[in-house]
Amino acid sequence: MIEVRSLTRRYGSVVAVDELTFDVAPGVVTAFLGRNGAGKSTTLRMLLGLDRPTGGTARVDGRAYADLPAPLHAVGALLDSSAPHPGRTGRDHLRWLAASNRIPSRRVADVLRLVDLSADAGRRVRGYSLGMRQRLGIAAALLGDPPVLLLDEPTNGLDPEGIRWLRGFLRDLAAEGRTVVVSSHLMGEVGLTADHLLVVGRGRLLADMPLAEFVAGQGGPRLRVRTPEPERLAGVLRATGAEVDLAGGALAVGGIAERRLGEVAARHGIPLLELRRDGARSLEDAFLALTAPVPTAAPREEVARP
Amino acid sequence: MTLTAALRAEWIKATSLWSTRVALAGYVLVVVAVSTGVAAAIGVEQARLDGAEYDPGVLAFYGLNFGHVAVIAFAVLLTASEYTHRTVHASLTAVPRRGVFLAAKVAVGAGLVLATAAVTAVVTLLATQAFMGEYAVGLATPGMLRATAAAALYPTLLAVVCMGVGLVLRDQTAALSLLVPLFFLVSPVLELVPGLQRAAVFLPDRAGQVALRLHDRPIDVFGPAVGLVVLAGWGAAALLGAWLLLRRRDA
Repeated sequence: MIEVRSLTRRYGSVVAVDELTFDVAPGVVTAFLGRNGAGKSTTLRMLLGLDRPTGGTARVDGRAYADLPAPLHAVGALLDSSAPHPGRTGRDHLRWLAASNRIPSRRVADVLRLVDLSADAGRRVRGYSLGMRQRLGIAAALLGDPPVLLLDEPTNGLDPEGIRWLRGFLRDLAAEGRTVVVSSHLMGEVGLTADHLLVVGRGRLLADMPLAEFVAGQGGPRLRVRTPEPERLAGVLRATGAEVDLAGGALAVGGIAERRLGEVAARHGIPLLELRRDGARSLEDAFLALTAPVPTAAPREEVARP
Repeated sequence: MTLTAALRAEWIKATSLWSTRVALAGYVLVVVAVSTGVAAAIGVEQARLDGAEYDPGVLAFYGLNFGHVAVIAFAVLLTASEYTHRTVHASLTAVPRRGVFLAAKVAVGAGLVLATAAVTAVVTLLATQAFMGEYAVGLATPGMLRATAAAALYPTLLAVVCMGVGLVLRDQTAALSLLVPLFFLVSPVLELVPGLQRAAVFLPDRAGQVALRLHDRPIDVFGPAVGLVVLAGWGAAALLGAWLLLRRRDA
């Protein structure tokens, strides 16, 4: 269980993290999404006691990270800003981490096997591919068998097969009742994995809701309408509060149901030649719209909540 | 999370890298080879020329002047290099209490240097004196046991100073380019500048080296024990600075 309350971090006049408040529940995969520079990594570093908050608190199991008696048993973290020493072997990297938290050394062999690095564990990290380093980082996060996992951009450097493996693996970890947080700047990478979304933009929380609700809320149906009087129809639909784009001879309409659109047209005596659903906007579109530098899809002052 | 667990982790870190092992092996090699080479080449001649001024401590441990470059490198590899290679985030998530992290790191680093330097000091003394003929001294010679102990303690305390500086600067290149010229060139040269001599002897390396000598020099303002205390004071100051910054700064 992770509790973040009014967490804020300023660098001079720049606000990297702005009054973030959220909880992360166990048993599901939570995607922590935002564009590069949105404040994801800073938030995770503050959760891990690496960066000092300007204000607010971040707690794991009710405690500040630095007060956890054996932190690797409580939280496993993969940080984008961290790397194993290139001159050390993968196994030695895990050995010192294990020793620091009194984790039995057989666990080192276990996690190496889990990420399929046993054969390369005796090699120096300098010779590892990006994907191997990432797998070593995941092994390090799992070392203490922690109930909470914080993975910052874990798919970086993984090949498609590795990404698929990771998705399944994260789902399994969540199914065991763990709290799993995966950050990403790419919606698609976690869209298939996550149950719950936390979306941040410019340090602020933009959305905190189940994935399904996010899709429904952001992508709502768009209607495609053809009529001999497009301008007039656009005018009357806009008057009802619908969003209308005139594209070619057709109209793309959002924010109004089919039935109501038909009724409005009939009342004004405008014939409809075609009325159909244009399909939901893709998750990626919804994400991009939500996190757009100049927000259009969601007012930034309000946090969307379930 | 206890100190002993953190000590074990730092021990594995310090001993699982080629670079740290090379630095310690380099220290042994340089100190023994330079000291012995100098003793063999000019030792007896120098002793005869110096007469009553001859200081067997200075000659026996002459190689320390070069060996401390290896000590600086070792100290920087344990500290600033963690930042340069970005492993420090892993270290501080594993051991989040900054005081425990610092204590474990410095204890392991100082312990390794002390063990290495102690063995090197004894080997160096035996090797150099083999070439000194009638001027040869041993641990039984008055003051020589103390000088040999200082040849182990001086590099150890110097390593502590450098580890503190490494954690303050947090950059391998910056730490090396400050510490190596300072202790290899600047500090020895300052000791030769007439107006600065009495101040220069308070610099960490100069103060520590006072304890290597059997005779006082005219410029000395304190004896061997105080010399090591002055050096230890520099070490304490560097560690205090490192601790305060570790607590305050983002990792």
